[in-house]
Amino acid sequence: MARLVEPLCGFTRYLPVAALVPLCILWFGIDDSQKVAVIVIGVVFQLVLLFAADTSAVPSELVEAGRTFGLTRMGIVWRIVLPWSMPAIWDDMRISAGWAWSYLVLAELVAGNRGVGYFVIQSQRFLETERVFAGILFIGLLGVATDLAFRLTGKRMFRWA
Amino acid sequence: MGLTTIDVLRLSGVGKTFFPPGRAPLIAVDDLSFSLAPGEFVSVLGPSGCGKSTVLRLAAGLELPTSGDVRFRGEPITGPSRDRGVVFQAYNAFPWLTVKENIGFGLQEDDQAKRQKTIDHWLSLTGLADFADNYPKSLSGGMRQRLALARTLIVEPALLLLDEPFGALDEPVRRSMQRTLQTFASELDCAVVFVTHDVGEAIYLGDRVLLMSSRPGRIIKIFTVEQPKPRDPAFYAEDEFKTLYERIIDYFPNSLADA
Repeated sequence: MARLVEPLCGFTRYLPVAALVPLCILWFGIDDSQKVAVIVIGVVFQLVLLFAADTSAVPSELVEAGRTFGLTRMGIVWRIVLPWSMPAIWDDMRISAGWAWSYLVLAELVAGNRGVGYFVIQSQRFLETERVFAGILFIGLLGVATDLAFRLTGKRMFRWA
Repeated sequence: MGLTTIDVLRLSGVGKTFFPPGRAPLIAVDDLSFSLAPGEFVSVLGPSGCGKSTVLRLAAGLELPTSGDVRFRGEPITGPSRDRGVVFQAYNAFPWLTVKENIGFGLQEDDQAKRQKTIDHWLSLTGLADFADNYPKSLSGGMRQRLALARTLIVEPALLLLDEPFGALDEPVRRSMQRTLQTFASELDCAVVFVTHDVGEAIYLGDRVLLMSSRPGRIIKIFTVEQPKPRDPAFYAEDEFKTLYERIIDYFPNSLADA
């Protein structure tokens, strides 16, 4: 399974997302589904590899302890591997949320009909530099806010770590 | 009714060889035979790296033998099972669960009230009641090991396998843990294989002491400890203890020195 998924993800995650935006416009149009598609393509393949790395780091003693309680393979995954990996998985989601932001703005810059990216590109067309700056600042603030939200909820959820 | 007469654990001519990639095969244990009667407490004593842990892992079903035959209640062991509880040397409490949740991990009881009662019982037996809602990271070494014992014993295994469980504890804590273990084992009437490299501990707890050689691990001598159970810590000072201690040390001076 790892041998099948890894090369596929490895290949896909090196495709520049910007290059995929035109394709997404052809397939999904210029509304929200196009943005979602760009984000999914940009994030999912990275996350698959990160999750695989997170979960494979589970200490073998914990897995063996689970086996001595008679857990099945699925039981090991649900009751040991996942709970143990959750903080790392959450952290990877936090980091990829940052990429997701930039992909969203990218998708809007190229082909949006609304949104912050669209606002920025419209302002550029009318040479309103201060509005461009405001847009960029707003994007940055939203990014920081998302990051902070992830951090705080992570801290609350994984007090054991 | 034949169940009571069948050995809990029987190893017959068991060998285990590991094949690490790119290196010479490693014979961990060789031609190992012994059996364990219900309720019996056997200490497995030997120098570091003599394959003691391998014996335990074979009995647990975490490893399968390369040759020979390992049986639990007459049935060949094919993998781990709830009937054979293991406590490892490393404190491997599940860090994401509280003390209470750790203890209840293996408990199969759907009735919430009964479940809670059993967990509370073990919390007080192990003196962890005040820490029920703490996470393992905030516990001391001795507490973590009591937690590991409770988590394993709550399942009421017929066979308890312990791999140097008190190896990392200070002497006073170690002594009190030995007493705790003795009490639990006799209360549950489970057979115990106790792996250690501490001669005193092996004698104090064991009905028999199996002495193993350096790699490849073989049983070179079996000592019987006559003193009835439960044993008082005063047993450490009695003649039988001292005599056995000297005999074991004499029998195996070189390898125990580097343990």
